[in-house]
Amino acid sequence: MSDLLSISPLLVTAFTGMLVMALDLLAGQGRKAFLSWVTVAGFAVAGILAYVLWSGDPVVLQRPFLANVMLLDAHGWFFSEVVLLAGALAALLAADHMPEQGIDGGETYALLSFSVTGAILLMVATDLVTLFLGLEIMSLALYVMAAGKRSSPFSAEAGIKYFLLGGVASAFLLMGMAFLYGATGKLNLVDIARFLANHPEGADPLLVQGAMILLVVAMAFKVAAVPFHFWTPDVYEGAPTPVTAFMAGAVKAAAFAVLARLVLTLARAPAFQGTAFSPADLLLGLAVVSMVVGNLLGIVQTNVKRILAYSSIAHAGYLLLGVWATQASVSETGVQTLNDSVPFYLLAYAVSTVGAFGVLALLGRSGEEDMSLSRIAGLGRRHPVLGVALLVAVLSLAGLPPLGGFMAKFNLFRQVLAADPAGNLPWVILAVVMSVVGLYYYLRIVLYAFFREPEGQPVVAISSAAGSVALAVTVALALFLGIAPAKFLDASRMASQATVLTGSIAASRAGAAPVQTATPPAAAGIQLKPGVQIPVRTFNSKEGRGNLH
Amino acid sequence: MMDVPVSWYLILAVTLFGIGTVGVLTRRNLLVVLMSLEIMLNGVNLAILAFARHHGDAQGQAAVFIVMAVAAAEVAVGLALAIALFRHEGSVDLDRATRMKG
Repeated sequence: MSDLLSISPLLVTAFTGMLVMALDLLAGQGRKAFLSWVTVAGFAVAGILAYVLWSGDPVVLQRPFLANVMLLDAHGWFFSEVVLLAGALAALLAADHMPEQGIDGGETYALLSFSVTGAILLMVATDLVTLFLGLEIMSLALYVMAAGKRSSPFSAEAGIKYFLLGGVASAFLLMGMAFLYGATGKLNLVDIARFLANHPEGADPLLVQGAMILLVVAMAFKVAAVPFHFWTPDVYEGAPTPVTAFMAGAVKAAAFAVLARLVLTLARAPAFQGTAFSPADLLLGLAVVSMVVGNLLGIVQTNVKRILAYSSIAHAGYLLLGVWATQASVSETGVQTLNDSVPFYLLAYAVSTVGAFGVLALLGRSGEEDMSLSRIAGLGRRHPVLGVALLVAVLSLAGLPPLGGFMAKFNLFRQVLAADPAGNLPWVILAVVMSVVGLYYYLRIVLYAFFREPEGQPVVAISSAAGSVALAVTVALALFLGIAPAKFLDASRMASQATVLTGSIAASRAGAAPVQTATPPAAAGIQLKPGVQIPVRTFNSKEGRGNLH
Repeated sequence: MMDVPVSWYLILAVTLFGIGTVGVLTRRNLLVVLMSLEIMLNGVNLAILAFARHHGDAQGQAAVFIVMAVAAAEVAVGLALAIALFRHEGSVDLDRATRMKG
């Protein structure tokens, strides 16, 4: 019973989805907007439960089949709150946007709930199979949501592109997991990390390194890092705008949480020491090209949703830099853990990007969705409230004070520098320069919204009480995160300290659940015959692009 | 009875995975792409099974069942998307799904 209580945030979100499906049948045509409030209520309950249950010490689950597959700690708590917040805001934005676009159905909210459930499962999972299940629950619901506007060929195209690239990413992730399983004979991440640390000669380094490459590539797809980003602009543009907001805010947070936990937990393995290849190099490479390409390509875009998509790619670059620059753990000596500032950055980014997409979701009329820059011309004069919300969101994304985005970026760059003042300086300088480059397209949005006169039809806004509430929350949070971030930074520190799974957690957990100590003694790693080369297929951007265009 | 070494299974699994990857990247028909995706996942399944046998561990075999179930769910979504594409474009050719560029 206490286990059921411990995992109740997951159960509540899943139950919310089922409740929404049932209520959807009872509600009449054109009266589905209240379902968004049901969803928000469910997410709020789940968020409170997660705060009460998970924010302290790691929860000890009694039943071995639960204790082996998930760990309920501050890491899961913080990222769950981010995902639940982004999900609730997306549900509010959808309330009036969806009927306006001719999508009158409750399935969006049900799918949203399931997607959130999957994301939370993904972030609390310590077992590779559970992790995969969470990822797939999150993603499958999202593919359908992206293609949710059935009258639009763009939406179908977005769904297909997201599905295919997501499917390939899942297959890469699974192959990586298979390699890890082969190298260690274990599926639990904690056991794998411990095995790799204690039996340096037992695991085949080739398998472990191949697994690491496959896992990083798969997660790079999910976080939209260059060169695995090519789906991002198209999917962000074609998907219904509230769904895009959810993708940008929640899925990025979930994907980064998992990326950090997987890579940083495994990177300590001796298989990576003394070799030319290290997972850190991989992360740094992805970070640098994402920052450069995301910001430079953002400049030439003329569609606001695509600009925000490239902004999302650029932010993935900064975040990867943060994941790369690990810092010493406070609880355990000799352990490198996730940089303190990364969870806070994800929260600030989620708030800002949901705010920006939220304003776009409240524009447009009778099903047409043209989000070119010229279309938002005159927004500031015509709809000052929406204009201010857009201003706050975009400036926060750009990282200007006194907004949350500034505080996030400042802390991130400062701590990356603190990790290695001399060695990291070039990368921090590059990140700052690229932020300045990115300022160009953020200010372009502001310029069009406030200082340009509309050419043809002036922009029209949907009147939406729910949407206004959502935008008010994003604006308030963006300001609050910038002005009084202390509490959030503390929470971020707690979360990041729990991200890397270490042996001590495993030991306390094993003590609580004696059943799982019955591991088979024959746990020797697999040794391939000398001379047998495993061809590891990495994904090359040129090939990948061929699929999409 | 001769025992087949695990590396042989692994080579077959990685080959299947590679064939699937190439298929996903080069084929233009959405249904063929879906099949290629399945080949990738089956390559993975074979690898997990071979490792499970090598380690004498039943967890891997259970994992394969879960992967198969998830793959079936994925294909269901994929086929629904194929129908959505067909409704708009009159074919399931991926070259038709290129409205958005840049």
